[in-house]
Amino acid sequence: MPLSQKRLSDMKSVNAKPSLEEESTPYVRKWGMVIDLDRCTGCHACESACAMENNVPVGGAEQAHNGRLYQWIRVERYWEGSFPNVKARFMPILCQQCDNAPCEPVCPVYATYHNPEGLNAMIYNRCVGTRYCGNNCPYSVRMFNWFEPTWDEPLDQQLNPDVTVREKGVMEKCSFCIQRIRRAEERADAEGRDLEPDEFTTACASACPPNAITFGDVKDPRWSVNKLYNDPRRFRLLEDAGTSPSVVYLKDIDQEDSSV
Amino acid sequence: MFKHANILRSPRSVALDPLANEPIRMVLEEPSSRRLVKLRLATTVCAVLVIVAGGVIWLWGYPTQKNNPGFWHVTLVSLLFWLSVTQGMFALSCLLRVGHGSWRYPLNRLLDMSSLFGVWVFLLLPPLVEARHRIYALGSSEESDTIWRLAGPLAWDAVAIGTAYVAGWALLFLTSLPDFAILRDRSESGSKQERLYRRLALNWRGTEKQWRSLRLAEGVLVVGIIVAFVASQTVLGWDFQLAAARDWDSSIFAPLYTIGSLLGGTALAVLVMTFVDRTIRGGSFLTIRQYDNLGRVMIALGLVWFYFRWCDYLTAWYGRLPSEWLIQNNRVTAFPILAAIMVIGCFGVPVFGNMIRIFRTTRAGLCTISVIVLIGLAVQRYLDTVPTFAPNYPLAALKPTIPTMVIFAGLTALFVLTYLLAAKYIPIMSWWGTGKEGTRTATRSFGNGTVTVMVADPPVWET
Amino acid sequence: MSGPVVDIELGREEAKSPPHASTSKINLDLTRNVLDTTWKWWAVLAFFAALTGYGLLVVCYQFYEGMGIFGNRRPEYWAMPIINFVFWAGVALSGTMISAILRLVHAGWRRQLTRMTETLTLCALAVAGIFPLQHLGRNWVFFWLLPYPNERQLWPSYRSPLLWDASAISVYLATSFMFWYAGLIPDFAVLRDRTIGWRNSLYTALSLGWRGTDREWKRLRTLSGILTVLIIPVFVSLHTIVGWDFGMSIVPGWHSSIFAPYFVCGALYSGCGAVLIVMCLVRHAFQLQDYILPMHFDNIGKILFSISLLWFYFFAGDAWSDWFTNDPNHVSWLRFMFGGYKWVLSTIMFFGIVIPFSTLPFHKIRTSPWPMLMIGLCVNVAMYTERVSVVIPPAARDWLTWGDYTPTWADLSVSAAAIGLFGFLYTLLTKFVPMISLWEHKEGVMTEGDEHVDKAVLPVVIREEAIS
Repeated sequence: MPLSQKRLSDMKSVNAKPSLEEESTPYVRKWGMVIDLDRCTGCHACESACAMENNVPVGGAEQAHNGRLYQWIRVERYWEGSFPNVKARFMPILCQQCDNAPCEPVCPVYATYHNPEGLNAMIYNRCVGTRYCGNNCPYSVRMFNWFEPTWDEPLDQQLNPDVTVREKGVMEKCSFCIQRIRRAEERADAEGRDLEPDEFTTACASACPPNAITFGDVKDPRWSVNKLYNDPRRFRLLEDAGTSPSVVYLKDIDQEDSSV
Repeated sequence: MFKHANILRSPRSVALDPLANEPIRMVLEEPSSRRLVKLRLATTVCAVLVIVAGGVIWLWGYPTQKNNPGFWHVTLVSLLFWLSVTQGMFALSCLLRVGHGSWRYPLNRLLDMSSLFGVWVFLLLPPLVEARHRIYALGSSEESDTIWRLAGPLAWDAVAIGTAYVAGWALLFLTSLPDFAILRDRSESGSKQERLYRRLALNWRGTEKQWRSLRLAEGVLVVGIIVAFVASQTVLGWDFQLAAARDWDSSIFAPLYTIGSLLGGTALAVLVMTFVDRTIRGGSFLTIRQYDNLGRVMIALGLVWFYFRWCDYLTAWYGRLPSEWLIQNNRVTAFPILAAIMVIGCFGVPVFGNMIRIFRTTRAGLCTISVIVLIGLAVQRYLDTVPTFAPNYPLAALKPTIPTMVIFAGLTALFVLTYLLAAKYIPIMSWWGTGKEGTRTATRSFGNGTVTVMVADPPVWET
Repeated sequence: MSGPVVDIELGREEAKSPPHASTSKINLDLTRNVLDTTWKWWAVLAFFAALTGYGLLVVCYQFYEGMGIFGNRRPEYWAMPIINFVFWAGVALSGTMISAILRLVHAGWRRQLTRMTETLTLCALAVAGIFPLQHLGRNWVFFWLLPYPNERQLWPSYRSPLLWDASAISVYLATSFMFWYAGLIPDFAVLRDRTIGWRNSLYTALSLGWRGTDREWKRLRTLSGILTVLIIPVFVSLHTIVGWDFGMSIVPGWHSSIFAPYFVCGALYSGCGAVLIVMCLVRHAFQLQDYILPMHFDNIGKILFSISLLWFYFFAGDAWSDWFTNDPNHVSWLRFMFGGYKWVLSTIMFFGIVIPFSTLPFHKIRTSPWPMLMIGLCVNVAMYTERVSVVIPPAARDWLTWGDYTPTWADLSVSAAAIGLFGFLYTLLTKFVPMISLWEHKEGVMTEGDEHVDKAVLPVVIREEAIS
């Protein structure tokens, strides 16, 4: 179509990163996640599992009261309606591993960057603690170590040796359990084979009782996450922000809702 | 420490200077036959253009082009451009007054006269209103998923624009009172001229009390005009550029367009000034200083314009919020040449061109720069209104066509006509302000160097 | 130049009043703050030193405990330390305005103010520069923000506005320092010739062998001309970039294209207010009533008034264009500001708009030093609160997370200590540097004269050409 016939709305920005659906991505593997809100019961098992797996510090009641949470995944609860027709909706929110992550360009020391697997990776050793990334994340999933993380006995004996313990002044967030990803890749490598589909999963996904969370390689159609990734109930958080998140949510099904 | 006397001119010597009286003489007496022919020809051509353009809008535009976005787009752009540039001219005059630069005195009347364009604006208001309605009507077509918002009651537009122009008329009238008085005193008693000026001069006798009141009124009006001008350009910028495009709320638009208007006003002032300079016989008080300083004003305004534009672009680029970035980028991608003309015209040429002394201090150089600046500003307004109209129309539909170009020519003619008619009755330079520059600043050579001497604290209206 | 051999009679025919007295009197008056020290100076210095020391202790505690001692939390990851940074960076814009901009518009009356305002700039910038380092989570590795070659081949990211900040501040600091120091050389020479002992050695070293020859003056003027033109884009860019720290983020309320000029305007506003404060205090402390005249306060007052109008326009434009969107993301921070934070907003409006608008139009107030000091203080209170209203409400009403912020004792201590540090540096400098530039003042006096026009006598000046 000649330029003069095009409409402004037809034209995509030349610099916007393509989303997964539209063009082939440069990634060899792309990790994604689907969270089925219809299955989520709000049990917070994912939060606990994540905290155990990733050495997330325990803040304490006073710090929580001051708004300093240490949660890499948080289950948000929304109430709808009034008694007796009340409904609670739960939404686990974790780092969306955005393709167009707003937290990445603002870090002055490259402590957060986009790795070749489509993950937004965090380098704890490099973080100087300016907290610009925390401000710029529209999902507010980044946590900052305001104090030196401590675990009272005997919790200090359950720390995961695969994961760094961060010091005070460092930003942290969900990494899609990158230690499990690397472990699985190394094991496959050592056994001289490719990674099997659904060979491993993240802590939150493995802990979820109703299997609301599914994790996997969205470029490989053999992984179970792919069946859900294009489900008609899908939506992503804050599309307006243009972040292109890798986490897809499946809409809750209401009994009365005839459209689904 | 110097104890020279007579470096500065006395007001008396200025008043008796034949140069100061030249503009008065031009109004009192009939122009020479050659000039009369030229004037009549110019007036006729302008009038014809205006009538043709008017016909195009009223007879062809309204009835047949109701749903043609291209027509409304370019008409709107032309109207807004002339609105903003004429307001910019007399706002510049007020800002120069506040800044106390002594070089402004010969220019004040020239710049103030552009407020008379406001008379035509009231006639042009219906098309403007209709254009506004059309924007929203066209935007809510079936294919559109944009949310078109009403920018605010129409009253705001009218009040803001109207106040600026009315205040401009008041300033022009009040500062012309002493001139009307001289014209009244010098015309033959009993003639039509004398009767006219007697009515216009409002009993001006030049007493101290009257001068004081005049200065007070001038002070109040100057401040009022600046405020009204800023409000007017703000409302125009938001209402027509921003209002309809969903999620596009660039907060810097209001200041950007205000500066753009001032820049356009400066450029137009240069053109008008050059023309007047060539018509006043025997030289005038318009010296190289006026050209030089207007050029420098253009440098400052061009830099600020670029600064604001860059803020807008960088904020959209960095954030990559789809609603903002797609608009910014697609506009440039769709019209790369126009975008380049805009930047060159509003920034490259006024800033870098004026830095070259030879361009800034010659008539030809500065006029060329001014024309390019005006083109750049018109293109800016065109480009910025494209997102307002364009999401669902082929871009080809928005290109200027012959009828719309006739409309633009008609508006230009209207501007020229305004000055031609006004200069017939109001002296093109004020008698009491013209020579004032010499009473405030003067140059002297001391040995090898020249120094400029100026009055330490110019008298300001006392508050 | 080893001092005047002959007293040159300066000034107008009639008045022999002090500003137009002989050069020796000028030298005496304007070097008094360096050569005479009273117990009051020591007291003031000790007070500020104590305040600074306290702040230092709090910062040491921060190194030990962590950033948690401050009130920052999610989502207000940036709070008081950044507010302080923006405020002091804003105050630092004052000196350039006086020295550079007023020089370009041929305002000769600025001569008496340049030295004290340039010193103000340097001290404020020094204080401002500390905060980006203080607010880091891991301050001890702050040098990773600087581009230096290292064996890990790691460079900082220039895509981040924080690095632009670092560059802008460094460049501005360097240029302001050069400007200040260059203008000081002739005055250091005067002091060298009038002191003995350690002061003499100090000023001999600092005056770099200045002899006051024609050639040296010419070079000084050329340097001043170049710096005047160059420092203007630097000073605009400094607060533009500070504004872009917020403008480049996507937080609704921060992501606004008007932030750059809005911040520059706010900086000029608080800088002007600080100039008034400094003018009044220095004038009173060192008995410079004959040099800093009501006319100076009048002119700065007029500038302050114009800037206040411009500032209000930008503020209203920013708030209005977000309100206009009807988009919940953009509007919620505004609702918060007009709701829970309405006392903050009222403070800004009262001290920043109501007081200046109701007092500055009056000539009587504009020419009185102490009322102008109060107005300057009000303006700075308003501007500090305005920084609070810019930094906190948008962060407090982020896309998905809301939270309320309360400053802690540590926040308030560090803010007070910033004032302490500024006061300490400035008071210290008043001991070593004449607070009014001797040569500029003399230059101003030399270029004044009286002009007889018919029967009137008008005061005239020779217009200084900034770029000759």
